[in-house]
Amino acid sequence: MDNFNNALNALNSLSKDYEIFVPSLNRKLKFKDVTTKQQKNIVKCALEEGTSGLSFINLTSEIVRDNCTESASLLVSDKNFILTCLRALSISTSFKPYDSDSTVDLTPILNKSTALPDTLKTTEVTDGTVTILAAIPFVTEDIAINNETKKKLSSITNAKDVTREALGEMYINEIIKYVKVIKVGNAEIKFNEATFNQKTQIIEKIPISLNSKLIDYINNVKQYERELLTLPDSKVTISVEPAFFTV
Amino acid sequence: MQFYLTFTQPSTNNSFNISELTFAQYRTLNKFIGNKNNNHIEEYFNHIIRSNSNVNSFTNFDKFLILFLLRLASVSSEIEVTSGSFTKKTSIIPILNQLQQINKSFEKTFQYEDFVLEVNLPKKLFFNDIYDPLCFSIQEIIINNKPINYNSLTDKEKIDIFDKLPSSIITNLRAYHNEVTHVFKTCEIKLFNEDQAFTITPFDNNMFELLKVLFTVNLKSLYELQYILVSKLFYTAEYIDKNTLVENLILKNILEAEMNQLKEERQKGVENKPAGYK
Repeated sequence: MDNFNNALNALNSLSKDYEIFVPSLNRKLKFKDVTTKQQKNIVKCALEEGTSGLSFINLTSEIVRDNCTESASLLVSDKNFILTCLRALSISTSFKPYDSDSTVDLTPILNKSTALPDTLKTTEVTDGTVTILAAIPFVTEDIAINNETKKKLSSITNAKDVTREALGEMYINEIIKYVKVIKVGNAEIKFNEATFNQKTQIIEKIPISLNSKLIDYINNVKQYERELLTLPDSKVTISVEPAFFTV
Repeated sequence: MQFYLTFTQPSTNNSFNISELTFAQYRTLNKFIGNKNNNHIEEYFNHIIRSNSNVNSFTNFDKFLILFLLRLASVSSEIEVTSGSFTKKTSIIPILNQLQQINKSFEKTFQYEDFVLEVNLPKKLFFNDIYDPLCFSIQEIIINNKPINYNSLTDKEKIDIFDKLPSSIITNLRAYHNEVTHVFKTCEIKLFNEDQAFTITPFDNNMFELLKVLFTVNLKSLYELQYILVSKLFYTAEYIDKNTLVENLILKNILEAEMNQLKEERQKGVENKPAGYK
């Protein structure tokens, strides 16, 4: 046991820190190396994954959260960019996309320092009666809501319903992640004070026109994320999926 | 002094004395195989190698060859293979000869900025997890010129240590596995016919599965053999247990031959009786 503890202590000295640009903070933060355990979990997660893909999403969110050695609130829009940089620094800058015969060099992504535009950080959508204040969720919020979704999905026992239910739940929960405050007249509902079930009930009742506006906002954030992960010369967009972490 | 066989380790050409596989060990091994717990089966394979050789540092390929040799010498040099409704007995000697041609040393060292990894073929015969072969290929980790004595750790501790290593090592370990696998793939095993070849590598469970096939026998037949030798020839159970299966089968065959002879003589006696006698 002493030998094991000594080995663990010695291993701690191996942990390397990398400085990675965080778009939402417009500065670099220190992140630890991806460990073999984390890489193992990603591959296992891909092998065990069901309909939703939520295990992989949460696992990678946890890596971003746990490997950041500084105190900071990271946004979901930072996540895939940080993961790509961590992959390039910890594993290799060379990557072969599954739909391509040649490898790409991830260095140009590592060198990016495009800050998240203020116009994307928050938004307000309204139909005249109901006003919604939305913002990009924190990584920690994303993990919490995904865990709630996973719990709900695991209670569906009828195999035929799983895919349909999963898609429905994930659609609603994706919107919940972005909503911060809903104002109706003088009443104001702060989403951080509501339970998960209350949030679901409220989102299911908002007018479709508002829903569409929220979806547009979320799509703009996703488009910005994709641009961050696009290599300038080849125009190849990196897709962060389990295969991305295997060499 | 106990009878022993000589095992020559292909990678070093060093020779080791290995005691033969006793009937008791063979019977216990079959109980483990019948119980289908692969971790227990592996533990018992290791127990046989340890107690019959007094060596604890063999790689899984060495262990495989030792067990193969024990099977050949103490059980039978043939294996019965079945394909559909067709059954054929085939000699396992050519397979052992072929595998012994893999006589390279697979030791390798990977240097990193602040640590060194020494790798070799794993010692484990059975892998529970797809990452086990990578983890158990590591023989030593040297951090700041100090070895951590990796091989003295338990399997669980080794996995915990492996999990904390930087993921960049996986790329090198995978390349090492591909290199070794390439050597092993050149050795095709043909058990049934020329068209059905398979290969073994030190990084999958094929070796382990083949060993299970080689040592599997109907357990009832072993108890029947024991019963015959105790009840008809009055050997003690201890004596039978210390013999090999082959030796016990020889004793049984002698008994059967003797009984057949008696039967024949009795038959002749009936035929030669004078007229008037029934």
